[in-house]
Amino acid sequence: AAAGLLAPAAQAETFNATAVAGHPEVFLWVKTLSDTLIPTVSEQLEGTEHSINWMEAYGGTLASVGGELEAIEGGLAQIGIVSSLFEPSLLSLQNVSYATPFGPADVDIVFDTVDEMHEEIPDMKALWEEYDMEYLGGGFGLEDYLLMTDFPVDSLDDLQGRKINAPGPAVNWLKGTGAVGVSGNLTSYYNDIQTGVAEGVIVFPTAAAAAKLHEVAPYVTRVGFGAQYAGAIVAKKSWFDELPVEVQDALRGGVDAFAVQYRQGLEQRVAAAFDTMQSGGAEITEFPADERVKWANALPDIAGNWAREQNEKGLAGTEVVNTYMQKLQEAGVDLPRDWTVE
Amino acid sequence: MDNLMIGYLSLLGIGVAIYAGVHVAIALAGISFLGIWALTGQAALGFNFVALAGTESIAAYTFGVVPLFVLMGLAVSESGLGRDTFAIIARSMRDWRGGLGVATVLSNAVFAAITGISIASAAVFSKVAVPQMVNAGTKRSIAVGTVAGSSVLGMLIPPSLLLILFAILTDSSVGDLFLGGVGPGVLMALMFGLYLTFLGRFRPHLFEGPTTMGGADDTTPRVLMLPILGLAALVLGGIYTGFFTPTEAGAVGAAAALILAFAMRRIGPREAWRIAVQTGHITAAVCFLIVGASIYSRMLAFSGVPASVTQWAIASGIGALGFLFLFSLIVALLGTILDSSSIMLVTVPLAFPITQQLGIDVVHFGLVTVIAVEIGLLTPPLGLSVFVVQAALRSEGVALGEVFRGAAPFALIMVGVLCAVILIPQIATGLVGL
Amino acid sequence: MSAPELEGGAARQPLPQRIANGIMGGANVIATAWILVIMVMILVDVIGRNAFLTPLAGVPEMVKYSIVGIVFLQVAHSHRHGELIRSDGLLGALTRRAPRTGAALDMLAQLAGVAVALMIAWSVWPKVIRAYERGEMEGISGHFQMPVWPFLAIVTAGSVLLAVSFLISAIYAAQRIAR
Ligand code: NA
Ligand code: NA
Repeated sequence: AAAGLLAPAAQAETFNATAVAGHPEVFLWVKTLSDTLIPTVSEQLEGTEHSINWMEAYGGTLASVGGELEAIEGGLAQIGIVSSLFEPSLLSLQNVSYATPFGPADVDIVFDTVDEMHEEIPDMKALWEEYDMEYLGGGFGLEDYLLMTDFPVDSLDDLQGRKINAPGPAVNWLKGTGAVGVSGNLTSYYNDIQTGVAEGVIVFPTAAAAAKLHEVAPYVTRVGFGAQYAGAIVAKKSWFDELPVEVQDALRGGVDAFAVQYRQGLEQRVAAAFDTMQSGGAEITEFPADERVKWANALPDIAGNWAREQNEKGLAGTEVVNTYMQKLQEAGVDLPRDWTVE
Repeated sequence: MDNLMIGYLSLLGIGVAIYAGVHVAIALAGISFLGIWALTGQAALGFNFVALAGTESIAAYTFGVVPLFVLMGLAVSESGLGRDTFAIIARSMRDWRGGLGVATVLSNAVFAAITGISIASAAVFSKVAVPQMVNAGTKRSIAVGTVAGSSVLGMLIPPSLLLILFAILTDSSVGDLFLGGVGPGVLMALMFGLYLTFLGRFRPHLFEGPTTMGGADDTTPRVLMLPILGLAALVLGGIYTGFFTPTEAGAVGAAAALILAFAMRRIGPREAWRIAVQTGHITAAVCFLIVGASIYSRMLAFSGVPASVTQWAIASGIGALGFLFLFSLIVALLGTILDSSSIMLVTVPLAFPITQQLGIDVVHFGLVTVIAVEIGLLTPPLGLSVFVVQAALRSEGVALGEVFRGAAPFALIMVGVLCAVILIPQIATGLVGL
Repeated sequence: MSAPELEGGAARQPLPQRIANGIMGGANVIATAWILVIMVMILVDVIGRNAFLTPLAGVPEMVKYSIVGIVFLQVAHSHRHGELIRSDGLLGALTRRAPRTGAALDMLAQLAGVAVALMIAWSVWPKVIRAYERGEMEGISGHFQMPVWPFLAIVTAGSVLLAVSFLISAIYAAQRIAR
């Protein structure tokens, strides 16, 4: 029940809201949405005249992974987790960290930087608004990606001629390294590596531990591809704009609580993931710094190509890459490759 | 009207529409649209819902290879290679009524080891095994039932897409679950074989007619088994040496079967094209049904029915054993109308925490869930394996009811195996951690 | 019930139906060829990856969306050949005992098909426009990308064709009632 013409903000009202996520609740971002965001909003609405009647639709009950944007835009859900990672052409600018690999491992720096950029670069918010999305902040993402293989890796040369599973945009991180990118997804890695279709995978630790990938790829090399911004909590803008200001504030408060809780939860889960892998017999090693530099510089100009592609679409591609680089450098991040676009 | 009531009414509507002869996919998609309209009060949301669910449902790599598995099956059967193989097996099994059915079950168990989806097995063996079993004197309802029934082995014997999905939903080991699938898979194949053997002994008229295929088939040289064995070796070998994935195996197998058939001058370009057209028809019929089933699964999940029955089971406060039986019953009932992965997505996250409290082993719970879900592949109104078998054999005049009747004993055996696995967890967990 | 033999040979068919059949047949040819192309693409990818360490980019994306195209190009032709899955037990029994009642029930089922196929076309059409206007792509920038709208357009067009096929069957059912 959206606010009608004669419904001033003061009138007590219950709003219906469906929260959508394509992933099931075992994924931290969905769990945090359900366990933190929604209760916080309800808490903040206590004492006001308003309330929200929530309906939660996760794990493909309303939209599959990558279908959340359409579900919200089409009015089937009012709030949800939209993964820019799975909308590489529609929410292209949000994927800047994937186009600039070997960034910081620190999720706070990555999430905060991209959040800030939403305030500074109008094109970034405009992308969301084009699809009737209100960016509520609460940018979230994934921890430092690593390499898991069924053979030991000490140098870039060890990858020569090896077949490596790489999810989505990470396939570009193998170009020029001599390794062969094999496409796959979280449900196929285990089998692919077990049978030898692939000999390793680029993956983030929490997913790797959950899928028990160390059983088939026990050599865990912390290459340091960097933490990645992968999406945000958004609301349907035309719905959000109609809400009384107290409800809007409560939703923003819920998203802030989500952001804090997600990062804490992520930290714990990453630690637990490494424990799981370690006790499962994985051999966890740090990739040598000079080899990391070598890898970063073996790659083609991923960021430049990506930025120019965005520029051609009339988006601030170059500005986004360069601002991101500048902000990381200001934060004192040691970057093996400066992706700044000329 | 409350959401749950709309959900239950939609179930009734589906049942009535399907039995009245509305095409199954049409019934599912149409009632989903009406259901969302009723749930939200807005027709526009119904349209958006159908558009989203309909286009997302089959846009997946896994479904993309369905036509290739069908093509492989058709190429093997139309070229007569399947016929040769079965003629040789039938001849050597003259004294074992039901032996040809057992051979089908065993071949299915082997094929299960290369494919992660049951409908691929159903598609391949409908064309390869059914006509041959019928020629050798097996009653057709037994033949189609055997194929539909043994296709469920595809999801038990690793690799299995459902076990991978379960592992992700419960944060458990894919490897352990795969090991857990071996015991129940072998047990089920064994029970199917025993059933067919007993049937051959005590109801011999079901296998009457020529005990061999007659005429030239009785003299088919044994060497003609080599092409099929070679094909199986190529596909299995390719997968287990890591040359290609189980999903890619469909393309390799289809191409190899076509090349074999050409090389042996069994088919020409004209037949090859006819096979491809038929492949398209079967694929369209099956996948269009999956589109309908996915739309409806989402609509029903949205109404809250599956969650509410699962929560009811959780709240019933019975012990571990009782819970497993009750949960299996619910999952199998949902399986009569929803597709397997949708059921797991909705029920497993709700039930898993309670199984942990009750001290149920995760591999045990996983296999119980998958077997219960798979029973639904054989049961009306929406038994996907049965539909695939019928779609593949429609041109031979096989009716849906005949396949459902033929598959019923196999569904009952599955219930038996399910009970055994519930009562004796070691069937599933025995191999894990050895 | 919608099997072609109940609908007379090609010579007895009115022109609009012959045109519709021609379009469905054409779509069927494209879809059939498409299946073979997918097979070859996967083979090239497998062999390229193993023998030359150069996989074919974009195969998963192509396969994933191709199946949607193949199914919706074929579905009308499948229905025309009576291969779309339905339970015809009750319908068959009814048609034997009371042919007109059976034909009436069949007509209702076919009309339901018209309505639902048009509903799908109507639902998906706005997605086609959106995906076209926004330049929505599947795949990874810098690796492999392809536009999404042509696949969605096939869903819409295929659903319209399916509606036409249902309509033809409904008309034949109506003629059986009148007979
Ligand atoms: Na399998
Ligand atoms: Na079923």
